[in-house]
Amino acid sequence: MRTPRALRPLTESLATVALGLVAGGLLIWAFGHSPVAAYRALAVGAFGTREDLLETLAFATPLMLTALTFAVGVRAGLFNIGAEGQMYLGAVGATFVAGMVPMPAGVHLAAATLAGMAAGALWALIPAVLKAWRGAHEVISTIMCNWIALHLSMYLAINFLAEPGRAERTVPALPTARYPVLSEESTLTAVLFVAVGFALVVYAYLWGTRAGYELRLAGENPDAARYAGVRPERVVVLSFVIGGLAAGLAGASQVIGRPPAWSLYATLGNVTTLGFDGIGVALVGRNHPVGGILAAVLFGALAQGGRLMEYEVGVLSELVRALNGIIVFAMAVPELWTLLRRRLAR
Amino acid sequence: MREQAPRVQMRGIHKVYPDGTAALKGVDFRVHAGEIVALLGENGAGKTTLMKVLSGLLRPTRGAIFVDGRPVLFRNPSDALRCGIGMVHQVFTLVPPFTALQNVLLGQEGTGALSPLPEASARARVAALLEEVGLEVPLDVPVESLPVGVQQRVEICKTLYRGTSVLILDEPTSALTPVEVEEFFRFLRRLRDRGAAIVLITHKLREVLEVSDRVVVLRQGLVAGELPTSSATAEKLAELMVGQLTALRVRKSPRAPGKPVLSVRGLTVRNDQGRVAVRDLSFDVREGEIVGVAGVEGNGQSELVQALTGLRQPDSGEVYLEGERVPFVEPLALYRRGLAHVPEDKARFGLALGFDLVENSILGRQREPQFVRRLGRLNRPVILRYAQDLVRRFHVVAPDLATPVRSLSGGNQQRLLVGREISKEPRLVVAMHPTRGLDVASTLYIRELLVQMRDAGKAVLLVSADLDEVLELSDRIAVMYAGQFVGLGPADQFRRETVGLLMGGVVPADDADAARAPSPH
Amino acid sequence: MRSRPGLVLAVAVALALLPQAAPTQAAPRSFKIAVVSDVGGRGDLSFNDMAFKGGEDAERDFGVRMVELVSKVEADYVPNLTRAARDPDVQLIVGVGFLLSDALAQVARRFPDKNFVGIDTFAQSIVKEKFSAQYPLPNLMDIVYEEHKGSALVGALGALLAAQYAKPHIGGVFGIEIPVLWKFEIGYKWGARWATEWLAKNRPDKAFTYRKDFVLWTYTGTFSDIPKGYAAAKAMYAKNAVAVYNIAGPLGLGINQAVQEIAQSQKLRMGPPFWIGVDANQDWINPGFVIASMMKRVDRGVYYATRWVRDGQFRDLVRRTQGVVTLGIGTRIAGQLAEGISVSTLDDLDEFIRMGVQAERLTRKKVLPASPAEIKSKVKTMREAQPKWVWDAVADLEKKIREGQVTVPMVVTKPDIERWRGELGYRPRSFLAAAYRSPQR
Repeated sequence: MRTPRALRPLTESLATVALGLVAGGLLIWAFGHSPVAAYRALAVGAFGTREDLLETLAFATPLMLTALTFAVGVRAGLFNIGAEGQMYLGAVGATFVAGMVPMPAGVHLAAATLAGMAAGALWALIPAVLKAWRGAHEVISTIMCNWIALHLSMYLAINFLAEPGRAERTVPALPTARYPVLSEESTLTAVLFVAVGFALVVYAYLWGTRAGYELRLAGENPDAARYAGVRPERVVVLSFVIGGLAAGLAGASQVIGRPPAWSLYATLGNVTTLGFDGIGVALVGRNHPVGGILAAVLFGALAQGGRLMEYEVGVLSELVRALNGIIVFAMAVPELWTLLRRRLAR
Repeated sequence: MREQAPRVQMRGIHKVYPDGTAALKGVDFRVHAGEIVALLGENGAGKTTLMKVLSGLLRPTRGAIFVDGRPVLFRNPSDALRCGIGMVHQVFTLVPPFTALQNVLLGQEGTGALSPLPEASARARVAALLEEVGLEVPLDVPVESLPVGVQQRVEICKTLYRGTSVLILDEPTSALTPVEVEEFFRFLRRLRDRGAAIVLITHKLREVLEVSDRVVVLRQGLVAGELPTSSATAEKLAELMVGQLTALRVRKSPRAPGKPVLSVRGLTVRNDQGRVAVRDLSFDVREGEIVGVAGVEGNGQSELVQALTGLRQPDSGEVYLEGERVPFVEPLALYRRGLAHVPEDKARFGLALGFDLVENSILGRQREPQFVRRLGRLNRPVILRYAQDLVRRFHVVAPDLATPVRSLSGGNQQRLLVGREISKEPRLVVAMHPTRGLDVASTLYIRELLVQMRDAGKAVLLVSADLDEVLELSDRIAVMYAGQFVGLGPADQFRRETVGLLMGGVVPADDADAARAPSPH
Repeated sequence: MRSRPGLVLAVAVALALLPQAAPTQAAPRSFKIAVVSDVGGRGDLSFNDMAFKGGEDAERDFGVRMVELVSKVEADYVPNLTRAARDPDVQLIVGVGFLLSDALAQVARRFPDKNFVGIDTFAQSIVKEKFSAQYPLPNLMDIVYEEHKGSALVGALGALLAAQYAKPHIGGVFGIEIPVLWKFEIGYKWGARWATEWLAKNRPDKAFTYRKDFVLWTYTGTFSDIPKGYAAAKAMYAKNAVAVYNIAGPLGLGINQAVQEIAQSQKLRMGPPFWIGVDANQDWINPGFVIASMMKRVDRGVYYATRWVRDGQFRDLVRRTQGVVTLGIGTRIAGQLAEGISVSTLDDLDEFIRMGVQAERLTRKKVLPASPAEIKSKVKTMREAQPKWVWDAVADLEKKIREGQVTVPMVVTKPDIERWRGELGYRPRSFLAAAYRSPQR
């Protein structure tokens, strides 16, 4: 392999994408559709026009953030699958500030965004503290926290944030707390730039600072981290806080950065599963913040392009979902396997 | 040398691994019945690969194997076993909670996955076999509660019970005390005299000379030489092994030690299982001296080193660095006061294998002001220059600095690690097994570095299971047994045999005084 | 995948995926309608399935083609509506369910040439609130239903059954407390009271006085948590309610479970106790125990809307109605009868059983509790086991509503609901410590 080392993960990921697409193509073919036509529709539907591209990016925005949550966890040697719950709380926090606390324009948007991030981070502290000082396994505690967050957020949304007469959702974000819509053609807002910016900041932090180095060291080799004087508790808390900030931002992005509702559904329907989807995105993105951005665009393309595939080629929506699954599987499994193998090897 | 056909013959064996490494480049090898052949070579010379081919674990890329003159093709170890070829690996394949008898019977032909082990009927046969070859194994004790040496006997018994007449042993003595080694060799000779063909993989010259009938030396995948043991000398074998006449001894000039750098007083440390591993230990290491701690592994050396280097909380005791009492479990504080630590397992403690050379070069030093800029940012240019400097100064061979350390050879990994530690300009160097698993060149280099540190006035604490290393480098020697020093004194007071006995927990009569009252200096 | 072929493959696939020039549309313009579901999707046996059925009926009668777009997540609403609107052949886009209101308002503004219909939505009121200059949007129609009238009919039915079986209560399990549900609540209670008056006049032997605690009712605060429906219904049956009205979608399955427990312990083959279905015809879910369903004919809404677009009446209708068309009992639109509310009959059952069969095929899960013939015969037996005067009285109420002789109160405001609750029954002590219930404001 002559590819430069830095590009190797990229080529490997592309190859697995191709593998997943081939397998998915066989499935489409087995159901009596033309894989070529289906994939053309997928590509055109995702990237064919400006508005499709923008919509693809709108779907990608929250995923790159929840992927970041998982990726930072993995980099620190933790399986933080709590993005889902942290994101719920982030959405609640953003909704509260955006919808119920009037502020001047400019300040309000920033405050709502920060409120969402802070809420996500605070929620992430629970499993972090349990892990760091009580040794509770983060997989178990984050799963439990996800459930608690679900019910807590629904409770808060229905009882304290509800819009009178609109029980299906909370009060909408005030106009001063909404990210500008980039184009009337799609639901993409400027929150995309915040998401990308945050991912890049995290990247710079992990690879460019002493604390980021220690965090990655703890994930790469916990014993070597002890040797290097890294306190494991601090790494746990730090990685959970960064992950919580990202997940909280993801939740906020769907409230103050996604028309037309500009609010949180009482069922949390406009945010549910984004956190779990982020795990797959992170795996495809090789647990790298920049890889996560690219992988999120790919997932966004599947979501948006699948629509045209369904519409034009008549591929059943269930099949579109299965196709997504296969591609995710093909892409995620090798990485997941390496992760597990390294964990078991210890 | 012998007229009869060899029991096993290998011709022109090539083995290229999937990653492109050519481990064997056309090796001829044979072993006769009633003969002990020593297969000698450095790490990576191809010894183990060759024997894995013979025992059916690996398939050769090219080449042929003959058993009793007939060509054979081994697809798996069972095929080899059917021809009477069995291998005992360095890592045992025993089921810890099973008894020795159960382990011997496990996986035998005729026992299905679900059928009960035919213990009763087999007991007599196993006992008879042990009697015949003169091995002592308690059959009804779970093997996990047996000492390593006895576990090895179980492993051998298991192999013999399957009808093995060609026995391959991979570094069998590495886990044994000197006393156990002697007993083991007696067993091997007995087995040979009964007509078995034995291949002994080793890199210890002394063992070769002591027990083998014939020596085959491998070097870089080729046979470097073959000779009857009777006409071999240690120097000659070493030359064949290394390929050049290297001074096996590190040059070391006498030097008077200075004031104590490390002082340990009444240190007691428990192991992971909560048992006392280091018991009330007191000693000093002074400027310009190497204190070598010998001992069979598992006598508390790891716990001692971990306690001294901030990786383990001791139960009680005090540690002073240059007269100042140091806190426990704060490695950074220790580093700041001049500790350099070459840990026992470089891949586990000293390096992050997935990180590149640059990032590994600051492992443990990542907080030093020279490497950090404002806002906690790493100072890339400085770190890069420093990593380049390390690579150059300590002759680390790597394609480039962005290579993950994982893909470096063990020797180069250790050069990077030792280089990093030494470049701290420490007051005290604590090194454990610093040359374990390294090639001869790296071994010599690292030993020289340790001596240089001593000559530069640093205090060096060397803990090693390699007796030769301890004897060769140390100014003072301690032997650790059951968590205590059973001897501590000037190196010239220790004869090899004495140390061997002390390691086995036997205090020789003429050294009894030294052992009973270990002086702190 | 470390080898070069992997890379080549990736490049090949990437090339194959490059967007091609859009194929030129040469075929003659066909008339397509698009139905965009909410996240319930296909196979919900309720709103979405009924909307698709309406589309199929329109395909059959008007020669149009229906395209289905199933929303997997809430974020799909806008892109799905947009995707349909961008198809030049599509002339009508239907969004099913009130969750699509915001999305309809937004997308309809962007595509002024296309016609948009929302079922059970309030998209025009969103337009009015947010973009008042454009209100009412000429290409957007909300189709809503007279649930209060249908609820009155089943309320009457429940009260009549209570009389027949000498039971003290009927019950209602509601979802989240939103104004739409007040229509159901007051309609149901009003119908029950009407029945007591009817009994006094026509069957004095069975008559009883309406008491404020006659209707047991609880807002569970959820449209999805089925166990809450079970718990609420169980408490009502324990108080000897003859029938419980499901006004919380899937929570009906919880109510059904409560009925099923009683049926099993008492070895019943038929109610009482009964429950009453909502939205779709739910009589087949547990034949013999679902006395009837208050049907909201979503399918009719889609069907009519297609006809209005085909006949060129759509925009005129929007202008005249401010974009909100109500379907109910005896409602007339553009001079033609256009109804959308009814109490289920035996004849309705067939098409809903067909829907169940289709859902089974689609989801590969068992949906129907028995063979279609068996279901039908059980429902028939159950209906025939009730005295004729019960059904006659319900038919009488329907006739009176249709002819305007009685008016069922339609309650959507806070003062109204308080007034009517004062008249027909305050909240009894809560059956549940409903965790999500909002405090009374």
